Amino acid sequence: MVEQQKYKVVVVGHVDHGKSTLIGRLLYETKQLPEAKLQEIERISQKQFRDVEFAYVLDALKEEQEQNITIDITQVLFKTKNKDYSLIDAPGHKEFIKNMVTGAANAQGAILLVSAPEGIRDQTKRHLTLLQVLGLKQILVVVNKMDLIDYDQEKFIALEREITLLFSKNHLQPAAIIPISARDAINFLSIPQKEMPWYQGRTFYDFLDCWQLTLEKKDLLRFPVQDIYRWNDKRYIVGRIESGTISPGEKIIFYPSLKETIVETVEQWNNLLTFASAGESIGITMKDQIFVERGNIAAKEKQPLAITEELRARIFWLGKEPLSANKQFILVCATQEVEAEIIHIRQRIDPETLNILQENAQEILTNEVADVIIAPKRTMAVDRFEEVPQTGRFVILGKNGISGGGIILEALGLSSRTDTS
Amino acid sequence: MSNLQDLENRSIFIIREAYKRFHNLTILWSFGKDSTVLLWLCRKAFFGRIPIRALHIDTTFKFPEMYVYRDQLIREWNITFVRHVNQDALDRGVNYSTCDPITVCEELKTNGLRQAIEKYKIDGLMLGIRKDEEGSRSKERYFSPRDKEFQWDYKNQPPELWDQFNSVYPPGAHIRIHPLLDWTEQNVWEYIQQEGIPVVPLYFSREGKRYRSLGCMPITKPVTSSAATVSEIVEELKTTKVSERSGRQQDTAQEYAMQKLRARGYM
Repeated sequence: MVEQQKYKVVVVGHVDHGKSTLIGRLLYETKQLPEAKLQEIERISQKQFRDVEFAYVLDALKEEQEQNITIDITQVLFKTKNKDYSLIDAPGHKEFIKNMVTGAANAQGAILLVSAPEGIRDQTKRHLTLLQVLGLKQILVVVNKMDLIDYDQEKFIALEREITLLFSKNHLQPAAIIPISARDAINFLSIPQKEMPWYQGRTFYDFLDCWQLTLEKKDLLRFPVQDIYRWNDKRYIVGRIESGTISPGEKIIFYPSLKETIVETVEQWNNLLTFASAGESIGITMKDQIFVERGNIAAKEKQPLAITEELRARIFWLGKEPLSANKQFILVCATQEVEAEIIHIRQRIDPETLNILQENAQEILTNEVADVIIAPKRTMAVDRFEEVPQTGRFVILGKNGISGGGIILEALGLSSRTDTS
Repeated sequence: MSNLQDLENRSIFIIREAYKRFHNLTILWSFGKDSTVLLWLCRKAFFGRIPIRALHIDTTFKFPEMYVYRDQLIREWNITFVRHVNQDALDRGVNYSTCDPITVCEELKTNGLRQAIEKYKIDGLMLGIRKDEEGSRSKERYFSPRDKEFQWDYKNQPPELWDQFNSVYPPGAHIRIHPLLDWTEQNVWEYIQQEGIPVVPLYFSREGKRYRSLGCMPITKPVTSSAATVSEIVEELKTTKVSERSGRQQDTAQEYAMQKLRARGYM
C-alpha cells in the first residue's frame, strides 16, 4: 500500500489549556502509543495521577526524541482512518514565535486550544494573529476542560460567540468549534450523549478524519525558475511547480519579462512527462531560446501575475534590532530576490491584543506585526496571497539570515505610489 | 502524490537550491544507504549527472565490502570523488585499540572533516542525515550553519519557512544542507526498493544477522535479523522496536554522546 501524504497540523493555545494532554490522549485513545509507553501510562493511571498522566506521556515521548536538549519543535505522527497527520507542537517559551513560524509555516491547518473555564487568554489571541499572518485558514478550535464547567451548554455557547468574534477580528472563520474534555476523553471517539446531549456537531476524531485540508485546486500555473542547466545538448529550465499544471505544447509567459514561448518537453530524469502539477520538481525545455533567469515565474495566458514596484503587505518581524522604514533588506518571494525597503509603516499591531499600537510609525519592534508598504528596487512579479499563496508570500532577509516574513495584500501600481494610505 | 513522491520532489528542490547557492558544494558520502540515496537524488535533480564533488572522510577502518561498493559506484555513476584521511592522527597512533570510540570519531571524522573543508574550501556541505535517526538530528534545519570553530548553535537557529533557506553565513563558516531531513529509515528503504538503488551487501542478513547502520568495523555491530532482501527489510522495519543506530557504539559510549559529538562538528 502506498503511504499517503501527511497533513501537517500545528497545535497552539495558551499555556495550561491542555495541549500535551490533548495530544497524549489522542494517541492513547487511538492506540498509537508505543508498547512501553502504554504500560507506563497504565501503571501511573492506577496510582490515580489522572490530571497529569497524558501530558506526561507526551513529555516522555519528547524526551526520547530530544534527549533533553532544549525543546524546539516536536512532531508527533498520528493516523486516523482516512488521514495521516503530523502534529506539530511548538512549546511556548520565549523563542516560541521563531519556532512556531518555522513549525507552522508549512502546516496546512492548526488546532487552537481554549480552556472552557478560562476562556480566551493573551496567548490565544497572539497565536491566532500569528496563524493569520502566516496565512493559515484551516483552524479548528477545541474547547477543552468542559468537565470543569459541568458541560454547561449556555457557558459553551457564550464562549463560542466570543471565539467567533475574535476570529472575525482576524478576518478568519473557525473550521469548527468542538467542546471536549481531554482528561476524560469526552467527545473524542464517541458522541457525548451523557455529558453533552445538546451537542450536534462531530466528535474530535471524526472531524480530524474528514477535515478538508488540501488547498482548493487552483489551476493558475505558477512555475518559478530555480535554475537553468545546459547539458545533454539541452537547456533545461528547472524548478518546482508551485501551483497549477504544465504540459508540452502549452504556451507560457515568463514574468516579469513577459517573454513568451511554447513548452517543448516536461522532464524528470529519464522520464518525459505529458503533464506535471503542483509540488513536482521538474525541468522544461522550450521551443524558443528566449532569455530566462532564476526568479522569473512562468504562467499561462490570461492568468497573469501582478508586475509591481510597490506592494502592501502584512509582515511579522523577528529580527533582534527594530526594522525601520527606509532600511534596506532583501525580499525573497518564490525564487525572486530583490533589494527592497519599507517606505511606509501604516500600522504597528500588537500581536496580543490586535490593537493598533501606532499609525504611520517609523519602526517595527521585534516580534511585532505590521501593515506596510514595501518598495522593491526593481520590478517583481507577485500574486495577492488570497489568490495564490505560494507566490503571494515572502521572507525578509537581513544580515543574519531570515528575519521576518509576510503576505501580500495588494500589488500597487506605480501611479498609486503617492496615495497609499 | 504519495508520501515518497512528496519527499523526493522536496529533496530535489533542496538539492537544486544548494547547487545554485554555493560555489563549492560537496556531498559527504559514507557509502551507506542514506548518503547513497542522496547521490541518487542528485542524479534525478541533474538529469543523470552528479555535478557535485563527493567527499569521503576515510577512517581507514571501514568494511572491505564498502570499498568495493565505492569503486563500483564511482565507475557506474561517474562520481567525482575525493577521499580525505586525517593522516596526522593515524601517525600519532589514534585507533580503536589505543583510544575510546569518541576520541577516534573526533580525531578521524570530525577533525578529518575540518581539514577537508579547509583544503577544498567547502562552503556548502550536503549530508544524508535524517531527523528520525537520533535525538540531536531532529533539531536540524534544512540549511544549518556551522561557525568557524565548527560549532552548531542549535538554540539560536534562524527560522526557516516557506521553503526559503538561510545561506547567509559569516566568513570561515559553512552551511550544512540536509535534503533527507524529513525521511524516515522506512522511507529510505522503500525508496531504494522503488528505484532499484544498489546498496552495500552488509545490510542483508547472513547467518541471522545484518547491519542496520554502517560505520567503522571495530565499533559497528550487526543486529539479529533474517531480512535478506530489500523488500524483507521494508517489511522488518514495519514491526521492529529496535533503534536504527543500536549497533553504533559511539552513540552510547557516554551519556548524550552524539549530542556532544555533534555540537563540536560531527556529522
